[in-house]
Amino acid sequence: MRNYIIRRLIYNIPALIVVSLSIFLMVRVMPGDAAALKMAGMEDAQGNPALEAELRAQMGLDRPYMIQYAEWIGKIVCCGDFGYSYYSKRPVWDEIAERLPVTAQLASGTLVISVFIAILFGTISAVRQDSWLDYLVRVGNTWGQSIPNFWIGTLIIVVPAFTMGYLPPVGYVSPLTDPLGNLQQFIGPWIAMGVGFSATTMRMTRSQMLEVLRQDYVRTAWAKGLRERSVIMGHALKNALIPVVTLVGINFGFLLGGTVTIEAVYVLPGLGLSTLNAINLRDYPQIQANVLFLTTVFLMVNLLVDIVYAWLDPRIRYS
Amino acid sequence: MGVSQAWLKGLLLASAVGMAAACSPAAAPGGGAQSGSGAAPAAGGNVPQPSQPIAQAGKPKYGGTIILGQRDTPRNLNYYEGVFASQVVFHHYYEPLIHFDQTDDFRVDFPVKPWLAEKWEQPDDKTWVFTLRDGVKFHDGTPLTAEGVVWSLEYLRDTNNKFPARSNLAAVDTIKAEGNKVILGLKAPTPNFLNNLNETYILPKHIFDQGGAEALSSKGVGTGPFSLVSTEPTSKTNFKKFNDYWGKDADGNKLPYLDGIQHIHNMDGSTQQAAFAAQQLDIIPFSDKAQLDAFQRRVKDVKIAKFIYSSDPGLAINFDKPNLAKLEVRKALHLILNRQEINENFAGGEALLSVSGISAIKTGWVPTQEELAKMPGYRANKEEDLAEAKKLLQQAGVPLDMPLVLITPATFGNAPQGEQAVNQLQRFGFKAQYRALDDATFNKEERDGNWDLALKLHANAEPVRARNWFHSKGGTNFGKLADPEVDALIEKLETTMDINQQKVVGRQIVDALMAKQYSIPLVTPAIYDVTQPWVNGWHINGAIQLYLNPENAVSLWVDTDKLPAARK
Repeated sequence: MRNYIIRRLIYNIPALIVVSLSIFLMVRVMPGDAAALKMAGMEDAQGNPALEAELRAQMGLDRPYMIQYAEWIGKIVCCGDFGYSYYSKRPVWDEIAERLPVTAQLASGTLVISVFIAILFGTISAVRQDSWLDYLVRVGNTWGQSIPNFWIGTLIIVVPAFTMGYLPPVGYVSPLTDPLGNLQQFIGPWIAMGVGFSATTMRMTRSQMLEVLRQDYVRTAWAKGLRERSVIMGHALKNALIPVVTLVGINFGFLLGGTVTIEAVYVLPGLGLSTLNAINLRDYPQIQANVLFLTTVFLMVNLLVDIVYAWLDPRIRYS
Repeated sequence: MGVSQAWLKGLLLASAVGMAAACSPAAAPGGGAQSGSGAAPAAGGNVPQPSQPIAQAGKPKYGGTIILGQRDTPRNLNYYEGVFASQVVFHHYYEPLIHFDQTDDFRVDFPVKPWLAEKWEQPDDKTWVFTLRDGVKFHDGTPLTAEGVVWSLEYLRDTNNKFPARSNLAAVDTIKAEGNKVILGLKAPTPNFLNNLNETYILPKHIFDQGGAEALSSKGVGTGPFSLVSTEPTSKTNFKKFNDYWGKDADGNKLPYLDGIQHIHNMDGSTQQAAFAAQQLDIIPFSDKAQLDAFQRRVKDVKIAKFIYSSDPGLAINFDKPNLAKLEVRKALHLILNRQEINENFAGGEALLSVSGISAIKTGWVPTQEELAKMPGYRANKEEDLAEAKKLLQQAGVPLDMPLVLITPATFGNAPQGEQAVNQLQRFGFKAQYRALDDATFNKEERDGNWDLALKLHANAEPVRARNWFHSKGGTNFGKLADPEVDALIEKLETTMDINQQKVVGRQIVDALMAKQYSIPLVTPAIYDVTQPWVNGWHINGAIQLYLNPENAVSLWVDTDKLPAARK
């Protein structure tokens, strides 16, 4: 197992190099840059190409791409220096550190809610296959999968606000300073995202349960006269969940990078919103650092999932 | 109302606010200062009237905190860095030497009032002497001195610092201090020079001495009515009343009235509306009349004030495109567009008909709304205009299905006008395409000339701004207009000191631009500020959106008796 982990970590290095190159080039082929944007904010200054050139040079954007890339990667590898924001002039890592807890809390809560919904209703749907309950769950599943989470999120905000005058406190509060206020802020986005993310997991749970319920050992359990709860929870569900774990892990990776719209709707200052703002402002160092960080986390989560997979199913051995 | 009805309305409202997020007012690239006034007339209707502060009840009271929300976060607390998004908070803690007087409608003649400078004089055409007010202190107790002001202005215009705002001082040759006086020597006589000082804030030298540029970017120490308590770009920025502030009201009472101001960051339009409905925000802006009407049906106990932009939108023309270089084609485009229809659809009939170069709000400088409403291109009856347009296009040898690309920044509050203009051009037969772009892309496309028409600001209440758009060397003349007659008129305006003569030259500029159709005016819409019933003293004519300027920061007060229990 140790060799496997080391090998996987080494395999991740080329992936990170490709991602770093891709994001570096992608942000530079986007039209416009931060120097031009800063000039655009000052109409009288726009007829001054010399000033714009000075700004571009100050940001290091006047040099060849390869030199810019080498400098960026070199500083990360040698000193852990991800660069400085063009706007705040602060290290971009500071922004990641500030915003990561918000995204992590959002993703974790969403995962818990989505897994709870998925396993509960996926199991019910499989156990009561082709009953009205099964059809109801499957319709709900399709609904959850097809409706955008930002729309559900907006409804959760707007309807109580305009009908009852209730809105969770605006302006992010940390769970360490105001746990109740923080919970009020997060429960809406957890539900909004959890409903959508539960859909695929629920389908997987249902199909796996249907397969497992037809296995001999389950039939044996029924034959022994065990109670339904023991058969479902003790024998069937435990085995059906192994592939589901993989899916949940991948979902968590997606969640970390896919919370932009919900963060915007709920005023949650996470990494998604930070990346979106940085893209709009062409703040290259911030975009690059955010994407590289999220990619690294995604790769690590995938590795973790594979390890957990082996732990759950002793038959799986990595050689 | 039944539960199901409430939900249905909620669903409809959710759709509306979703669109509001996309269309909510935002700074237009290249927009420069924007301002407006209340009591807006309908297009073709009355002459613009001076605005009034939003209705207030009784005498100002001390206390209370105003809560504002916005999409932007303060990324850098140094105004000179030119980070537009940070302007949301600058006005609380930085102050300029002089300021536009916003107690009345300042947009016609731009009266200037003393701020950190108590008075000023002009011993000759090239010298301005500002006498500083006594007793002005920075928030940490350090007194403001003439030497400090000189440092701040020199720091701004130091080319090594690469501050975009240094263009504010482009006309200045020398800056020196004498006692409590700051003396600016100009390179040449410059009419309306004071306008450039309106937003030239004075930064603290002693903070720079202590911690360099980094301290200026992070500490936010100024002389303004509110001092910075904390700023978390991820959440909130809090200000508290500066007890040693120099300002007093007309009765000699110390200013400001408020105990504090709080900004909530990262809020999109729909969240701001929901937060206002839940009484967690005090002031929100609307740029779309239909959205405002929908909002008002849900939230009734509010005060609403309206003002007209003093920066007018229109379609800039790319003169590199052979067809558009032809006068007949430009005139045809002007004739095809139906401003009355745009006004009804986009602005609820409350916009002004716009002209080129100088804002339609500028009474006495531009044709009146009545005159415009009778002119070809502006009039309600379009049959004659459309027939004339066809004739002009045939004369020019241009096909009636000519392709046209109109670009605009997607965040521009006027973007829906562009979409409607494209619809009208398509109805006429053109293969017109509408492209709403993010700010950076718009900037790039505009500079690269990948457009035929660009929806942007093309007229301002400050006539000298016409240089940017229409002079051959104008900073934002990306359409490459080059007309010696227009250049000469703009240069003449820039050196005309007498205000009455300026009006004459200004009108000549407008007439020249309109005769040759160097841009295609649309309509100048109203902006609406909605405030909670306890908010008083809000001057909407000077503040664009929710950027509190010094005037508003000191005039705002809260009727604490009306505050909801949760806010007391």
